[in-house]
Amino acid sequence: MAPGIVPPYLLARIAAVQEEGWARAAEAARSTLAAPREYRPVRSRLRLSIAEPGTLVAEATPAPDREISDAKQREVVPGVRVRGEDDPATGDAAVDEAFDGLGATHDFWWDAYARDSIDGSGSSLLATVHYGRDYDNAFWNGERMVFGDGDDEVFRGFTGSLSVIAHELAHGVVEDEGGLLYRGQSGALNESIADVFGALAEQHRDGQTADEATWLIGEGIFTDAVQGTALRSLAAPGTAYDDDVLGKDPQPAHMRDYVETRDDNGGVHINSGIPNHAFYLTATALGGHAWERAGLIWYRALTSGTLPSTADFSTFARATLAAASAEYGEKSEEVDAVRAGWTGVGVIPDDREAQP
Amino acid sequence: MTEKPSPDPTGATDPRPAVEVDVARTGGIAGITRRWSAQPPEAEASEWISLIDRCPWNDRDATASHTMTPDAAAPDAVAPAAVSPMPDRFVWFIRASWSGTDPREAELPDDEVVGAWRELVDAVRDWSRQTAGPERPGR
Repeated sequence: MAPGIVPPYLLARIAAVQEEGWARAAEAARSTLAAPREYRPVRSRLRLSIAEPGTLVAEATPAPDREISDAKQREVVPGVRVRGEDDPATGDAAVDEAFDGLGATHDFWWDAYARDSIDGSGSSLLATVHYGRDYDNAFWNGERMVFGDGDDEVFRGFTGSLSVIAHELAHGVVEDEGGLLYRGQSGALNESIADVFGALAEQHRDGQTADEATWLIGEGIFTDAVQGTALRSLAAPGTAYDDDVLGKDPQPAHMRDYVETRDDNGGVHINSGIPNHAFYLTATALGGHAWERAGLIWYRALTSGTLPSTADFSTFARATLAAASAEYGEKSEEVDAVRAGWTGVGVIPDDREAQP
Repeated sequence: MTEKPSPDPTGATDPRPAVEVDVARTGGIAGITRRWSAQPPEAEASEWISLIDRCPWNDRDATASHTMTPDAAAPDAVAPAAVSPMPDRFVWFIRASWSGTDPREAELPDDEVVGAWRELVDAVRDWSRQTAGPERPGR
């Protein structure tokens, strides 16, 4: 649903309606009007829908507060502010794609986990586009998402993929929740969590179930010259590309193939294939919308407040088992699915009952 | 470029390249490692060596920075994110050697590839493009 800004006079009219079928809408409108102003403006919007004939449902939900800047091909952030929350589309594809992607990602976090933006309290969503010349990357710098344009040889740009935008924003969420040291296994977990919620944001926007989803990260960002469909695949790590120049997707899907390397902070983008696939196994075992149960369990594990920043795969696996037990009960199918996911990638041994 | 670099720089037969600089760019959101190499001939050596000498190798000794537990010895307490590298940023490895010297190595986060480092990296990438045509396979 497109975000709408409902003017106060309309809220007042809804609030004043006396008909019985409108009682809930009227009350929602009244509470929206009565909401106390906080020390800083918090954006919200009113969503209207018809629940059953004659019943108009109105609910106030937080709205994103986005700001896109243009680095004008220099490697400097933030660059020049080119679009704020209330501004119309600019016609610059990178600016508008980043703006729309951040909006879709904000909606995902709120709808799925009632999390209002990166910090849970409506923080602004900041992005810089056109970073550098032929810059082949997108990253999270601790306060904003930064997108290069790609070199048109390998990458056609990064803002066209919602899973990439949501991946960057998820790094912000991980950091806000205490962080995961970006090296070795904790770094690969940081990467994997960014991929999981990147994929889920895309599935949420497209209304896909676990069976319908592509489970790809960065689909469509390669140029036609590259033999590959995406950066990574959660369904089949190691199969996203196989190219003359780039080589083959090096991701393992099982602990026995864990890659020890000095590159890439100890292979954080390589070994993330293992927890990525554990999530995929869990989500497809449960079926339905992956953000609803598998995603909620991962989210609870991340936000439990007990995950150390140096967590390794098995520490995180235990955190997801504990979260699943707390949410659904020890003997639930959710706990079974989570355990099967982690044993499927060799993080939890098959024979042992893992302690939730 | 008229002179063709020896296809195997470690080969016993001459002429050995006067200077060799290897650059690897790892990480990034794609996690794809790209490698470039320059093996300029004798005639260009002094130009390259002066560029190499302008890079602050001693601040970025690869062995020092590679034992990466954020060591108390790290003099340049970089930005706030120094405890953990920035998500999805590139990490660069640069190695330079020429006849009669020990190779120098450095590991650099993307935002430190500026100044002389940047000139060196750009020179290697240009050299490698001009001689090898399309970019070299990234392994």
